[in-house]
Amino acid sequence: MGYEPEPAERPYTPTPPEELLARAKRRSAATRRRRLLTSSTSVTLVVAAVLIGILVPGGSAPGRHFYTGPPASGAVRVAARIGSAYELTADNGRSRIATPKLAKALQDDEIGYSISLLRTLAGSAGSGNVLVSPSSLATALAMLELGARGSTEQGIAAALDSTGLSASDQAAGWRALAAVLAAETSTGAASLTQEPQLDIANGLFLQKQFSVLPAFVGALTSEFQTGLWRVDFAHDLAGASGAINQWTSEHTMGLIKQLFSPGALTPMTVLVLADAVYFHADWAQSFEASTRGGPFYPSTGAVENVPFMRTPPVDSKNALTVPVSVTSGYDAVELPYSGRKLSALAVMPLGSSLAQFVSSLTPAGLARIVSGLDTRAVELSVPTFTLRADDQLNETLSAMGMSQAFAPGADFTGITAQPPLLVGSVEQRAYLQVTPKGTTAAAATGVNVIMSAIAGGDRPVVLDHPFLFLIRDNTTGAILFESMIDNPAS
Amino acid sequence: MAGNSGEGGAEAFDDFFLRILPRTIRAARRLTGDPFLAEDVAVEALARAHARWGRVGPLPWRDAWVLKVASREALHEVRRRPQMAAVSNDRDESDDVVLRLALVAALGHLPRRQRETIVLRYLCDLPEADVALALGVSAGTVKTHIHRALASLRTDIGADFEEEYVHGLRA
Repeated sequence: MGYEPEPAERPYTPTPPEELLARAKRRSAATRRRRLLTSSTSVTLVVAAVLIGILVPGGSAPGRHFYTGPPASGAVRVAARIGSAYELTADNGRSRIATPKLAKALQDDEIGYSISLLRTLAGSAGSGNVLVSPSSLATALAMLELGARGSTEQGIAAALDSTGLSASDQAAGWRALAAVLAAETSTGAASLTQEPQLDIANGLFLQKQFSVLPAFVGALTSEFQTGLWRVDFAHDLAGASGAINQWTSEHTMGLIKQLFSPGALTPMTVLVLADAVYFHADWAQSFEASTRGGPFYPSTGAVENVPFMRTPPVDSKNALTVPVSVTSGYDAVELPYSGRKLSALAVMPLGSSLAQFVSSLTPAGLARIVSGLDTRAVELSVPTFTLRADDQLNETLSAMGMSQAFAPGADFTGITAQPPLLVGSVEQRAYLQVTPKGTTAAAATGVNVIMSAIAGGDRPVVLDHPFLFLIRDNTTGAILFESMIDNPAS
Repeated sequence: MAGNSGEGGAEAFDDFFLRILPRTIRAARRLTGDPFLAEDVAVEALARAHARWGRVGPLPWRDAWVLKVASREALHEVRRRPQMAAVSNDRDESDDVVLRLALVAALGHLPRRQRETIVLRYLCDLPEADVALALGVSAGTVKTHIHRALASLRTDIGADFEEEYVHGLRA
């Protein structure tokens, strides 16, 4: 990468042995994990291998998706401008192709982390709706982790539930996961194929004249297809914020217009890592076009009258046939989107509150719910709803293990050799709309880096109590959006 | 993460790691000329030891086991990106760089056993008896390997090649 004057020689300071010891143990864990995976190769792995094998060499618009194929090397150029901000682009070097095993290891981690994130958010939210895009947050954090070292890196890995994988392994794994997702969806607005539309973009907004290590930017561009933007937080904060917001809006189809809360970005900001995701899909089998009001029972407060979308009775020829499970503990239903590669999974606990249910949910528990689904005709009622969430995730992520990143003394020497950096804030804006036709969801995550300073009967399923709503990839199990609907009317 | 080591032998993994690390980095650095890469190679070798500590820990030649893995990795890395050595961060005297590159190239032409013997004996400073243990051969076989390997290196690198050139890398 030739966009920054690169020091001819990097002065060598021996890494502390303790840090190398920790690094060796992380690699060892990854090795053992891979061995374990090798011995339990499943059909899923084979499918993943085939998908990745076929799809990784594919390509798309540069900077939009991070699965594009290996481009030729080339010079740096200005690709786009927003006000005074400009995007630099260079044809990337070769990036690692993740092995199916690595991709699977990351996918397992992603599910564990997604559930842990939901649990932590539910614990801090009390009663109320929760909405978050774990994949968007994880991508932003995985980008950050590439520049973290020592216990800061370990903390981020702990929050991502991926201490067994090195940052570069994770990056390669994310790319493979993105390749699978991209293959199952279309990009761009003209979705003539009726495939779900999934648009993911990553951006690095960097203070002018602030130099970062070429290896960091190189890894971001090759593994995450991150666009590099030059902005001026120090002298034109409004311009820099405006550029970030416009970028966010463009990549979320206007659903999210502002990434950071007012005052979050300051002249002390030296870089922002951003991930934006937009999802739109029609149901594979539509609900009746018109909704009807019905009661919904929030965990606290009065019964609400909310619009429900419904499917025809089971004995009609248009009856909905989907994987469903009606047990004494919960009702669960999987609603495939067109193309049937992605689906929504709704789970309504019956014997316990949603908060209790989520607090004891594990990846294995989720897998049991999915494997307990049985495809049959069902009469279904689901409330329509639109949720918005603006979350500042510093405390959530600290509780998940990455408190070092927010504290003075954070080690981001993988980003720059300049004065010490720390994370000022991690924020996510998310949007989720469920209608009789389908689902539209968007999320944007920003990392603000500053200088230091089971079988049941055939009764109808009516989701009229708080329920869990996940948008999942059926191939990998990756969770794109997760939501706890406590009150669709609020 | 920490605290689960040492199950494999009398020496806890952490102690072993801290003891053997400097030697492993030194050996890797002699072959790669790059201190950053040398650290990475050493970590890789020691991570493999950690992953198999139940088996490697009790070995009397566990030092040699790690050094052998590290050397193999270092040679692999140097061969994989030959341009790296030329832009090495190390402050080698130019003669040393040339010598190292010549030696790395020549080592590549040796049979595996001879190469391992030379690397362990001269680059890792192991006594012949330890080299024999590590490779599972007799001390006499080690001598034979060294003799033949040095003869090949002389042919490969030049008529005036002396054993001291190999020793020179140890400085």
